[in-house]
Amino acid sequence: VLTPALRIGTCVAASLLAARCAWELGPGPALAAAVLAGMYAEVLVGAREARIGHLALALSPPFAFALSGSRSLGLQNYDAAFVAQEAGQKPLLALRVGVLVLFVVLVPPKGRTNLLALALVGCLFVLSLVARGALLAYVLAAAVTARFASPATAPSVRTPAAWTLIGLALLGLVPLPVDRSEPTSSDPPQLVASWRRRGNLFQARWWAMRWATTEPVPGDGHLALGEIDWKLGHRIQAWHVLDKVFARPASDDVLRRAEQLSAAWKHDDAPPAGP
Amino acid sequence: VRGALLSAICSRWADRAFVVAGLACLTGLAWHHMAILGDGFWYVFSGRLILQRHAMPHDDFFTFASAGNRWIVFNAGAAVLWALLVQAFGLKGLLVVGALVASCAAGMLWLGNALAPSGRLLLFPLAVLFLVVDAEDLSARGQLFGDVGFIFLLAMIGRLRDGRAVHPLVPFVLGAAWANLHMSFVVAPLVPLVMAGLLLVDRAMDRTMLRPYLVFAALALAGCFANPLGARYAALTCLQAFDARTSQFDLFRSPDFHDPTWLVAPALGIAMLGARQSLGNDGGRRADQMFVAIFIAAACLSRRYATELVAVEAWILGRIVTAHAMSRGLAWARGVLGVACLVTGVLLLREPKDPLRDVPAEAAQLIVERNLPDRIMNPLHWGGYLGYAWNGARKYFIDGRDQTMLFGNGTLEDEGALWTMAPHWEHLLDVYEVSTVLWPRGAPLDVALRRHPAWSLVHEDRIAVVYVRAPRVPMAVPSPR
Repeated sequence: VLTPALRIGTCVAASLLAARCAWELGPGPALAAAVLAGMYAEVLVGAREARIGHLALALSPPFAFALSGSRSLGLQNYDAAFVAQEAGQKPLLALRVGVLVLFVVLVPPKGRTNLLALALVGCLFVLSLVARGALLAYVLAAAVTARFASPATAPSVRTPAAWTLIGLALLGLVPLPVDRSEPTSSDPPQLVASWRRRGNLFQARWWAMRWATTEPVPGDGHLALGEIDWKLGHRIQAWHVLDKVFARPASDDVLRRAEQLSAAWKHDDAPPAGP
Repeated sequence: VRGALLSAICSRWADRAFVVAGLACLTGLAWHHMAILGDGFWYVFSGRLILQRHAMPHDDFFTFASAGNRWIVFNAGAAVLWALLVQAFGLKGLLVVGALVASCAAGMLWLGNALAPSGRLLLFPLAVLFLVVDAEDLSARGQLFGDVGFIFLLAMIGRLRDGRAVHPLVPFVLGAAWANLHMSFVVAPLVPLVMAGLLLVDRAMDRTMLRPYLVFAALALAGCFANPLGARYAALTCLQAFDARTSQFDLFRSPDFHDPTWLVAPALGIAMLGARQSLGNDGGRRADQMFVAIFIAAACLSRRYATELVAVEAWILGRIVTAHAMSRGLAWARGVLGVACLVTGVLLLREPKDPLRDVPAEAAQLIVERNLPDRIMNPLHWGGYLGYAWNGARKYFIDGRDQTMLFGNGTLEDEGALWTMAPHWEHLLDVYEVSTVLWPRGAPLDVALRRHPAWSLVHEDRIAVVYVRAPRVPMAVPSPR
């Protein structure tokens, strides 16, 4: 039998995780989710013959829901098929498979009742792929069956392992870092540099045009446009841009760099590579 | 005694006839679904280039918008093999070999796992399912070798599980060959390691018995790295596997679970989880279950792995059938199924195939003949054919060679935006200075350009349309205020 501290710890962890998941819907739904998750966990870990698998089964759904967020659960678009590449769906896939494995471990398919239970849970697993709204039904069916089915020889609870599991589950409360890989900028010089770095001269040229048209006198934007035009093979246009820089340069430095470009282009008459 | 002997001989011949009929059916099915898609064509032109230069090409002169001189030819062995095949037998020869390799994979899956007649009867539907779930993606490309390699790898893992020896050269050669044929070669060392880890968790055996798995993995890894390109390919495989752009490809997205075909493999996987709980050898029970669960997750994650899930299911089922020595075959069932297989196989094998069925051959030829203006916009899945057909004489926008290094510069996303008709689609045609659009007939871009005053339709065939932009004033050089 689990110690009272472990039982309470599991229920509190499940409640906190569920509240974290539903918090974006408001305090009321968060409170309701916390109460439901606490009751769900108590049903699983309150059993006399509760195993470590029951503990995992009590914590894994709130953990996955906390990672995914309430909008990913499919309560709004319940009839949409599961797509792992959509936001928040990967933890829910892990939950589906994890619950399945826990179920098989906790409920051996021996005897007619257990076989029927496996068939039911298996069908709900598949149904949750067809309509993501069925995920909650699948998890609940697996949990209830695992609670009341004849017990298997699954590993029993060891207190340090149980506390470790609860601690790991509580990591779900930590907000995930926001992806800052693609900073959105509308600053043409930055965008030109970014596209050139990525090797997309066409996008770079587009933004260099925008940059150049905002310059009161031909400066860095014109030089960038000229360079990109040259690389793209628009040689006449590149010379036109450079002529404008020579005619009215923004600074001595710009003039010096324009002269360097001019010298380089005069020597650069290599034909494009072919097969 | 004579009667019993006669019955045994008849049974053996009936079994052989069933095997032949089954193989005919699998070959027919592979032939029916086999195609050469854009990817197959870039294999051919890459191989052709390697053969011409006797070196690996690095400069991309096929497309105009790629990120520069950073092309690394993937699967060089398969590319050269494909190019040689096309040189010797033409594109139809490539189709035939592709179908043979696919049917070889399905045949290995079937006969390699079913040692007794009853097993052959039970596992045949799985071999068919293996080809059916792959039907949308079955084409002449390196993935075929990846599938063969994976099934062979499972057979070797099975040997290790049975305590039988595997010659050290086998994992080494497997790793070395696979690295040249398909990017999935990383599973050669990975799968034995995963199995060893699962067995350790399962406590099915003591740690000394894990040694063969570790040795196998180490030798397979050594084989991968003995290949001169192995290290580079391993780095690129990791890069591609974790790159967000990879999931933009249909193949690496979750299957459409509203289509019941895609539910069969996961449902069977669940059944196998349950079956393995009470059937088969006690040793490695949990490990097998975890192994199936991993592949169920993989098949839900990406449809590419649905075939691998079916292979694992066949492997588990084969081991269960063997363990329970289910040798009693149902003669009548084999007879009926055998006849049905033979008829299906013969009918499917007689089906005529056009290697250019899925590519815009007419439109590509027209663009060259009428010298339609640069730059040419095309969808990703046709790029490989354009490279093959034009051989660098005309440049196109994009192909499927490499979404990280070559087309990781935003072009892949921009092609996707044109495909889905994002609001800035017209802007993209301007940015890339596109004057000719070669696009699938009936696609949203076709519909939009058909009624667009700046574009005129110059060609329309069974699958493709070609539009040319009306002559326009060249972009003005910006003037200072």
